[in-house]
Amino acid sequence: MKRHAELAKNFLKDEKKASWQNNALWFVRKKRDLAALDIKDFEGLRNLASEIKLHTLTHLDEYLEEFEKNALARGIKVHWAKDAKECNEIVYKIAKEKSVKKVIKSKSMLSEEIHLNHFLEEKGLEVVETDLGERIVQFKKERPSHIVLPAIHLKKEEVGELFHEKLGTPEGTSDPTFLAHAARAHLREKFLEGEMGVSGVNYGVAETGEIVVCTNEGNADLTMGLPKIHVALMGIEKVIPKFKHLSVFTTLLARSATGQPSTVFASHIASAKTGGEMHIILVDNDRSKFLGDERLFEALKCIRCGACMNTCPVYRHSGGHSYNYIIPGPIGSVLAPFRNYKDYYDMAFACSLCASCSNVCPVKIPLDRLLFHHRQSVVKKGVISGLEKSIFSLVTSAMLNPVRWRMFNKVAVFFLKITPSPVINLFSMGWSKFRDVPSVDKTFSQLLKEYKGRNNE
Amino acid sequence: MSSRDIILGSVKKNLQKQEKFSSPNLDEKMFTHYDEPLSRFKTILKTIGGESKETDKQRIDSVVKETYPDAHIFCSASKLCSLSNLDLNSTEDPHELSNVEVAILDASFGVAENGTVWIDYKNLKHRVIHTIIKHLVVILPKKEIVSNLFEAYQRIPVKSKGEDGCFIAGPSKTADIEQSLVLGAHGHHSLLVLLID
Repeated sequence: MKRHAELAKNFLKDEKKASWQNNALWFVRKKRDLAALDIKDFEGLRNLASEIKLHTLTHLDEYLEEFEKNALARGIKVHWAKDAKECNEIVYKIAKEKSVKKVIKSKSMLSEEIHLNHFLEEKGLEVVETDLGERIVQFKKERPSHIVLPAIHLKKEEVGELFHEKLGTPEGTSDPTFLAHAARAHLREKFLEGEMGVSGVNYGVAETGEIVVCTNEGNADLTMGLPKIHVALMGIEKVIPKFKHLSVFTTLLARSATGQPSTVFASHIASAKTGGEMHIILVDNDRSKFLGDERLFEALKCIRCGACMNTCPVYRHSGGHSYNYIIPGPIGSVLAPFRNYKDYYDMAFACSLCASCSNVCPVKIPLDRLLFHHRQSVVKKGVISGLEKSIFSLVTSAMLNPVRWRMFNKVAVFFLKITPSPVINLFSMGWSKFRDVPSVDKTFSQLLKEYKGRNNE
Repeated sequence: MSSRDIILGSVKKNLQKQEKFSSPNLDEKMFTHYDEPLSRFKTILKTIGGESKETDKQRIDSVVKETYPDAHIFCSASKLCSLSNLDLNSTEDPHELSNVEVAILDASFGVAENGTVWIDYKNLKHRVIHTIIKHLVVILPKKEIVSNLFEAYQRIPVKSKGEDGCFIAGPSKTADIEQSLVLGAHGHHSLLVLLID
């Protein structure tokens, strides 16, 4: 398995594209700041959102039962899936009962997490992603590189080429408006053929048993409103207690995500459409395990806005596909190592600990602290290399004793002074790839002593 | 044991070690109040690609016709517009609405802070009517514009099947290709809000 650093190196080979992506994401971050300043008390609302989520998560069993009771009262069918396999099987069972062959889907990170498309396709069903970015990555047989901007890693020329091959648009066309409208025409046909719609859920309201789905393109409204059957996939952490709490989250979500005052559609679905049926699948898939960790349970507050990705210097300069987990960036790096540290431990190190993510998170997840926490447990679990381990144990033992520490520094400075820099670079483990180790001829204590001496004169 | 019991059991078990947090109070003062909600509404609507026109109830038909001179298929769910040549309530299958060029709907209220209008689904036989069409016209009484979402959610009746509905902010859009904004994704290409007294 290739690790983040290696994958990032690959991404950075195309310097022009890498720099474009960095700028595009930073532009979204700046829009987010303007949208936040447009509101009287954005910071107060962030606190409030965090408090509502903390309350909900620590009473999650009660709110899930209330949500279920009220949804059932609305005639909505509620299913429970403990893991990915069970969720996929429930979706397939609903489809099979109604002889559904064609499924249309709007954006759902949960469906990516459980590999729903793959499962249904294996069973012979056609599954069409209807969000433009998701459709693009589906055509490319890739995964989204960002949770809100799934195709941010592709340039318009690449999309033009792809659409030429898949949709028959004229060769060499790369105008975004033309391509988006070609996709509209193609997907409108798919919408009209779809026999079952699968959507995600932004919020489930315990008080009313309804779900809220927020999108810009309108694909979710067609997915939920056209076919007779609507299946909504909902992680158990998506529930919020009261209807009025939506005002807090709806104010924060789009502003944090893209800097828009609101998503174009915030659809509140509290019953099946005329002549149709509606299912909600409540999915655990290890979410409940997070609740047992006194620090990491806060990761479940996430409302999937993507603000932490847009602001993260490591994400902006390495791209979403450098992270092995389906959710990249700071929040993905908090979720993944807890789920499976062997596969994803490297994500905890794809971080400069600058804490920019924690400062923009609309629900105030302490992402940087959780990443630091992961690093500590990863080291304890012993997945770092023997060389790194012995270096750090040497440094630790030196730092614990002042005499040893001074000695250690003197020896280090001595070797740095007599060793030619190409040789030093050989041992710097990548640090000196794009820069040189600075020349050193005195230890910190020596420099400090001289400084004090000068100031006392 | 059912999956429901397994999940709820696992939630309960894992929460045993957690400190419980209390429910915070929602403070209306945290939300922005606008002294002139109408002017804020119009400004924000424009920045998100929508359009508004102040008009009389009697002139709605002619304003819609003037705005969309080339359109042929109109579907109105509003009593204030009589241009409908495709009746929403007698349409059995929502798929038949795919050819509608202009839909005219009533908004219950608008929100100054983010330029959205609330479309109640209660009287709409097919919910897709605001999305499946080319152009959307929404009729909104000027006095029904609230400042922020706190006020907005108080306007929607809970537990009376009143929550089925949608906030709509401008025309449907996408920026999935190179972050270039394209108006008219899968839903309406344009949104016109007719502000009446």
